[in-house]
Amino acid sequence: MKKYIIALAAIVCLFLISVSLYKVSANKREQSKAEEYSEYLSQIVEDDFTGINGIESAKAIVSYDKAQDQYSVELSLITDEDISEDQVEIYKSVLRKTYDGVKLTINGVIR
Amino acid sequence: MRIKKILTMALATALSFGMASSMLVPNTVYAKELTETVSEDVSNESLDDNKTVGTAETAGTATFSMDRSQMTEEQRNKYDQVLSGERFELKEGESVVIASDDEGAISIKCVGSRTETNLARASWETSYQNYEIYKTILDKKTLLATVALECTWYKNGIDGYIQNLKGTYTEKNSAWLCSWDDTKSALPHHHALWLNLTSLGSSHSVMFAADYHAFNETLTFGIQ
Repeated sequence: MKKYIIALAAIVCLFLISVSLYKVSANKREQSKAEEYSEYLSQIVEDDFTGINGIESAKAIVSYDKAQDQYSVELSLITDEDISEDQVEIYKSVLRKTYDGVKLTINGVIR
Repeated sequence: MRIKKILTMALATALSFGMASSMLVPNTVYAKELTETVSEDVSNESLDDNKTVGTAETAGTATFSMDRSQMTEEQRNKYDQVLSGERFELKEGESVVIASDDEGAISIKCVGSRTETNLARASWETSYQNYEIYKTILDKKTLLATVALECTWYKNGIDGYIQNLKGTYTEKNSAWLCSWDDTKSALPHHHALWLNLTSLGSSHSVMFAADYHAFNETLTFGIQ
């Protein structure tokens, strides 16, 4: 009888270990996908803004907050001409459609 | 007696792992019928699973190897782009290698792309893109699966958005199984689905995305 209890306990332990291992593995996979997607979105933002007249370069960093299920973006633009406040608001409006947190820097100045 | 104990413990271990995996993996790929085609919607409003019956074909496999030296220059460049995590937009007729191992290379080819404007609602558009996924071993190309993407979006400058992205795969080779990953994204301007490709010896994940570009009011499909 004692042997069977030990065997049963062993099975339960193995099951719990398997569950833990699977959860760790699933979390890693999910985290990896979130990181890859953030990188993908960064490239989209950079490509979209680089295509605008007057913008020489765009560098974007998109990050994902798993707890809040929110994406945020830090976009740094280098321009060859002044960008009007109206235009800055348009840029921010576009970014806010997707990102909960938006930090826009133009020629080193946070806007 | 000792052998009996060992056998009992081995059986218990196998059962334990089996139970754990079967309880935790709802879409167990190896249990899915080959004839099943699965559609999956990502929407801001609701998820609508629409399962239909498709067809599957079988093809032979071989164990020759393919490395970078066997790729064309174009394939190598695109492969490097994908490996570096760069997003990739495929035009009709273009293909990209997404993975390569001792058994060959897996590539995705865009075989169709079009956009339709909804006549009743001028700002609503539906874009389609179709892909074929191949495994190439030396010069032998085997079709593993096809993927059809359908994206409905609202074309209206900054206020435009993607309503939903629907992906449908059809398995074409019994040695490879597909499944949509539980991970999905449905941001207003960006939707994405992940397709898992699994065979006995390897597993790959491909992201299929639709992206709305507010500044020029266009929609593009991307893979990564």
